[in-house]
Amino acid sequence: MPSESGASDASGSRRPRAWKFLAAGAVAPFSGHRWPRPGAAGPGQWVTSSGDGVYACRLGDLPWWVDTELWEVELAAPWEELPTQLRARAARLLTAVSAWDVAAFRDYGEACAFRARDWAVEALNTDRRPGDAEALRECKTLAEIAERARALQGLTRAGNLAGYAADTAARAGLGNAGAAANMAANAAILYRGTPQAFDAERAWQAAWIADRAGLPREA
Amino acid sequence: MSNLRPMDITCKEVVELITEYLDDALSLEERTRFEQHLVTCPGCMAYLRQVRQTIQASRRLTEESLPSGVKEELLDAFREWRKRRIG
Repeated sequence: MPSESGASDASGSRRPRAWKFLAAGAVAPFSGHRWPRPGAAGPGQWVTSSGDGVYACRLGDLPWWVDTELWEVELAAPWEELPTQLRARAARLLTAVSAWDVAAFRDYGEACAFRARDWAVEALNTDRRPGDAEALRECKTLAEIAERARALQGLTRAGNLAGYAADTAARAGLGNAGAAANMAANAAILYRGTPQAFDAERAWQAAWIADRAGLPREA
Repeated sequence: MSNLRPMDITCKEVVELITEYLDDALSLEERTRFEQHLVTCPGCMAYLRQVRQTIQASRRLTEESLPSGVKEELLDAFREWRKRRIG
């Protein structure tokens, strides 16, 4: 069990609130390790890695690692802030985020798909193709978006955004929210015309997850 | 500009890197990109699971645990394969 588990690490930095996405059954998606769940006696047992550490998310990291279960975790000092995750010597599960489940995971993919659809609609209108734009805007389901947008796919900016909308909707329809979100973030680059749009879209996605999961935004 | 982009790594690269990944031989950045690809790619995630299961199953196997005749069948197959390559 980690010996240093106070509110700050050796450098005095405050312990960050941290979350971890897991697959169904509290299973780590890559290693297959089943994390010990918290019980009546308190948090789950500490998990240490045979590799170089245990990983968790800040709020802004969540879109990179999305899965169907979300847990708040406690990190044992020392911890380290990496570009898209936190790394610690050990971690343990504190509580399951009950508002995040398979339905939330699917809704997240769908939200990303409808966002990509809206960008394609806007681009089609800019291209003076109001009929195509309206036909795509009227789509109510992921399958409709995928089919309609695929038919509008082309080499223009609007056509490319339609292609992204089709791919994003198709992935979301298959329940692959991680891929849908990644495609939407790439579509944002084309839509906004700047590479910084990727990170901005990831920030929007992180806020969506935080809102749906009921996480505190200031963490 | 984004720090790390999942689409920077392809499914083909996942296949090529999987042994190093399982051996913990990738750098932190490589492993992060590898795992971020997995989040977006159910096919590669399934492949990783299959390789892990194969490794676990093969650890349980011993030469003595092979059913009679299987060892000879395998050796014949290897000999035939070698003959074809040389021929």
